[in-house]
Amino acid sequence: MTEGVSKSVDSQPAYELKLEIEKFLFEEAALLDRRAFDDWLELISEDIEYFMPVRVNCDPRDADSEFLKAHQLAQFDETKDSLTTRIKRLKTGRVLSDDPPPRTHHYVSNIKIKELDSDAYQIDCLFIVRRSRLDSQEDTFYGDRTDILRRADNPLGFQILSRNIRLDMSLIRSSNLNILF
Amino acid sequence: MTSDHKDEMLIDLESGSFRAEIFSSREIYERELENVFSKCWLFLGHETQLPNELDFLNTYMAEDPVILVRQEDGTFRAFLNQCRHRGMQVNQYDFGNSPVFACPYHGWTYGADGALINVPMEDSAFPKCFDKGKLGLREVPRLEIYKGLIFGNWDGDAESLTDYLGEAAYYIDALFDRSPAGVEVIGGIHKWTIDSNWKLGAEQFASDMYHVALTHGGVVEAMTPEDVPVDRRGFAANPGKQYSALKGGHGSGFYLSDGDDAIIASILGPRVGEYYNTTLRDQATRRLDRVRGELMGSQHMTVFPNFSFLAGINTVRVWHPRGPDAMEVWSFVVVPKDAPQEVKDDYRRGVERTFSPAGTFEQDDAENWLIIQNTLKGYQASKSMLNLQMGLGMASGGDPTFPGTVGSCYSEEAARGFYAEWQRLINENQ
Repeated sequence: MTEGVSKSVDSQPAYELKLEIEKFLFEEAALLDRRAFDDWLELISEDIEYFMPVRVNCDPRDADSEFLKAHQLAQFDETKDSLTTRIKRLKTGRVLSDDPPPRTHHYVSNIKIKELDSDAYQIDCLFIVRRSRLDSQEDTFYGDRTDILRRADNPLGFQILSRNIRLDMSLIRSSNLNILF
Repeated sequence: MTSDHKDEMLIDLESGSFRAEIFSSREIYERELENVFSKCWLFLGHETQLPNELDFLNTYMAEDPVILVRQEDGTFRAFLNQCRHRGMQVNQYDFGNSPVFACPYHGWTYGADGALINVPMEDSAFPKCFDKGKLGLREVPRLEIYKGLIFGNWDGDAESLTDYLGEAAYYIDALFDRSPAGVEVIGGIHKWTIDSNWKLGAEQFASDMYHVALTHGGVVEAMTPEDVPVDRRGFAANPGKQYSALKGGHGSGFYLSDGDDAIIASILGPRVGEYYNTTLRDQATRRLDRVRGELMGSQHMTVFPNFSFLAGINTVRVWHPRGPDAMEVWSFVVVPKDAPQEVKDDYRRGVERTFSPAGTFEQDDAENWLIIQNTLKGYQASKSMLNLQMGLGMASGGDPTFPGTVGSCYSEEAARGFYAEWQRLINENQ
């Protein structure tokens, strides 16, 4: 499910890097699916940019025809503080849309790695998140994502400096985006 | 249309009860489309969403797709987004700027004023009796603006928007007329679907302060600063009022308190809190009155049937019906036009995080409505009489400060008013 790195895929360091990054992304996804939110927060840098734009349907001949612009509405525009508040709320156990909690699986795929410097990487990938809740709520969210990761001294070896999530939906065909991508 | 519900009281205002199937009956829904959504003033957009001539916005009136267009002379017109030939939509873009709308099917082209200006092969293939002049896009016959809010009405004989709003204007102004510069809409609209009847959203925003502490318990706990006493965290010690329109079904509720509004800072951040409690307060007190400038807070409102907002938090939305068991919510953020950019950005982020598809408050509301709706699949459940007694007989008119019928903010007076108007309209022509 991975595509390889922008360097030659035959070189040993590039292949090892691919495996390292994959491992990180899959384990990060697993933290979210296991609802280990505090562990996930530890991967988030203090000045994270966590952003999902609003997708629009406009004239393709216009620039900015796909997404709203800066200073316009977004789906997510988070800091470490606001992500922490989201998680704090989930931990109160008093969130209606989370009680009982959903079953989620985060799939990450088509991973492309670009070295930015000796320990920072830009990751472009595709994602699918499937969510099932109670007997009747079922959602599939999908799109592509760009992360900036930096090597860090934590259990999974990387910190997320930024995450730009491009959900393919314009009209959100779900009652909520109560999910971390 | 069967006569199942013709003489039946779906809403019993005297005893304070109503039949649950008003949220689920297809037959009632069809009647709503004809008697409510084709007769009432429906929100189309805010002037600031279309700042330039020939700007257009694709929107809806109930399930009818409508294009709102700013004309070359600066006025607004709205048209059904349906080509007069075979019914294809003439505009697929959410918004933009264009002098024409060209149907992709056969090329019939309409001007921004809705006129049919070009028909391919008109001279060679159409008879002499073919008259382009009679085939413009169907126009929404009435369009009026109140404080920047553009409303449309399919009923050419409808009373004016001003008369329709009546004394509800007092409560609308508390958000939309606080300052000389006015408000603007931050670009963009959040759009999402909730599989529940539109009235659940409209009623709650008209009439329900009661639910906050329980439904939003988790997020209120997480977002309120530690030093705010538990009993002020959303289920207040704050007294408040609820307004029900003398006629028309509009409703609103709010807290009243002297002193800084701490809730704004909790939800929208300290910078907006500061701006709200100083600059905005002064402006609104001067322009409106001390009550609306300083004392009213946490206001919720619905303009009948399906336009709602929270003043202070500044989220504004329409509950577009999509059948009896679904709605499409369109929500946007208004900010004071002359606020600094950082304040506007904080408003935007604060509302994104609370009242939006990813919004933590909104998610709790949707959960209630989803499960209410799901339950109504049951035959017995749909026949239940639900309780509408809160505050029954405890509200009155003639308040020296607050127009309309006014009671405690923990009440369902506004809901009774909403459903009274709804029932009156539903039973017309039956």
